[in-house]
Amino acid sequence: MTQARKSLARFCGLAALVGTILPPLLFMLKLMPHNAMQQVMLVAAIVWFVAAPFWLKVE
Amino acid sequence: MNQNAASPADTSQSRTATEFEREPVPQQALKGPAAFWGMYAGEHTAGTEFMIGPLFVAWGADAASLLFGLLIGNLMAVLTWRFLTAEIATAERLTLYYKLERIAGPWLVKIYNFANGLLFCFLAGAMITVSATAVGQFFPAGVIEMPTFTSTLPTGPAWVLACLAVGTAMTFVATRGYGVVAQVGHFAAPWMFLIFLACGLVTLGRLGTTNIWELLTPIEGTPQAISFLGIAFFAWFCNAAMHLGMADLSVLRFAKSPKAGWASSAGMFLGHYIAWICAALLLVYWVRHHGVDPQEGKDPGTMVNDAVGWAGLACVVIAGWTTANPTIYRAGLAFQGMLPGLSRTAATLLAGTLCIAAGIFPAFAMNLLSFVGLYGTVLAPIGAIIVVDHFLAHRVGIEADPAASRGLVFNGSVFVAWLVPVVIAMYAYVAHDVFASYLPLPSAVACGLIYLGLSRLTCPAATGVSS
Repeated sequence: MTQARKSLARFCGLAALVGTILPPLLFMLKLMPHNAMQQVMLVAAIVWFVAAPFWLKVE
Repeated sequence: MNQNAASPADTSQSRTATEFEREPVPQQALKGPAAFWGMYAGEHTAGTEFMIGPLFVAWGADAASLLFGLLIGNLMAVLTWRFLTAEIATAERLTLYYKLERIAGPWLVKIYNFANGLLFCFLAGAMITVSATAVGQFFPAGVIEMPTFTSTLPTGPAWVLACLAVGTAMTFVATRGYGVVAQVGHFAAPWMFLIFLACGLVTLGRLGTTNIWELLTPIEGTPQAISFLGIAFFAWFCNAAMHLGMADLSVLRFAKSPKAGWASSAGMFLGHYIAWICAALLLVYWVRHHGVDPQEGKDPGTMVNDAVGWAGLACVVIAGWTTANPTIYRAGLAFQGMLPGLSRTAATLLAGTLCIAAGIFPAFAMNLLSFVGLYGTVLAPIGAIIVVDHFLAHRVGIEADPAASRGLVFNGSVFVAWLVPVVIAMYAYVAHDVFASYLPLPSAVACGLIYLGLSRLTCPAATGVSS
């Protein structure tokens, strides 16, 4: 796997983790509606499971 | 709570599962601390966490008991891992099974294997139950009647079909080995923890407060069925089989230093503290907002779907699947140990069938607080025998590894020392309704003392051999 692909996977993985926790935080602060929060979290979940295998090395 | 997820060795490559089983792990196979921190964080964020938090609410736990009881109990669990399990694991570098065989003889290991395998099946059954509640969310409301905390029997044919579908899929994958599932579990771990956290945040947002103390205070009239001490003991001993019972010797024997035992704090404080409290908040919302009776509860699938949607449902399924799968696989291995003529596939199918049967009956998942205490009560005493053998044998004049040195196939001292406290503990649980999590510690201490006393008579050090 090239370094570039791993870097991309790391970026996407981190973005997915942020996309998993930021929407509920924004919802809690009443800055994001519930439906939108759920949709962003679903997209983040998909991105995470695509990116994580390229990023997280199994020792 | 996961009693038997994959070890760092297992997650990396299935070959290590068959390596060093009857010899100390060599220096070149040792692993750095990162593998253990990741493993513990992942394996203690399981599907059953979605049940345990709400069950505390159902049992009327108050805020102080929950917040401080869990803190102390989890700390005690970490200390047990660090100063008992990891010390012995890194000194001996043997699996629990081989160490036990050296003390108790191969026949007793078979009995232990059977007990372990059977308990694994009930635990995996609870995970199937939790996952099936998520599957139900993909059908129109009412098609699959969800069980409540008071359910003991299947809620209907649709529920049975849902459990059959989930359990069959898990068993099929388990027959293929669990390398892929273990990897999915490894990848999913950080995301799953954030889903638990998200459930907590969404609940706080919906209830319009961040005062967790107030939210965790039971509504007036809720009977308190669990005390501060009960919660602390539950947190300490819900994984008793792993730490005090020494099952994690098989994992920590790969650690370079006993300091790897501190890695268990990742699982305890992320999974068994934050995740449990977040899961508890889900039921608090349903009690306060929808008027649900806390003692009836609400199934995890419905609560998580309502809070965070499909991502949450995926988490419930994945958390259940990735932890049930190795449990089914290892239950199969345990049965294969009992019945060596059985192929691994046949043994896994047998284990899977038992798990599905257990999963169909919600009684196991809904009584998880008691079940894990009994699980520890049966298996933790074996760890006490290893503790006596490792730390005390030379000091008190009994022989270390007596079965190995004397060629015993069945060490009667171990059997009596194991059986007597467990039978008394089961009597206390059944006849006197003692909370199950109070039982592993006295059972283990009694087992260690009885073994020590009997071994002074039957296996004194530096005396003539008599089998």
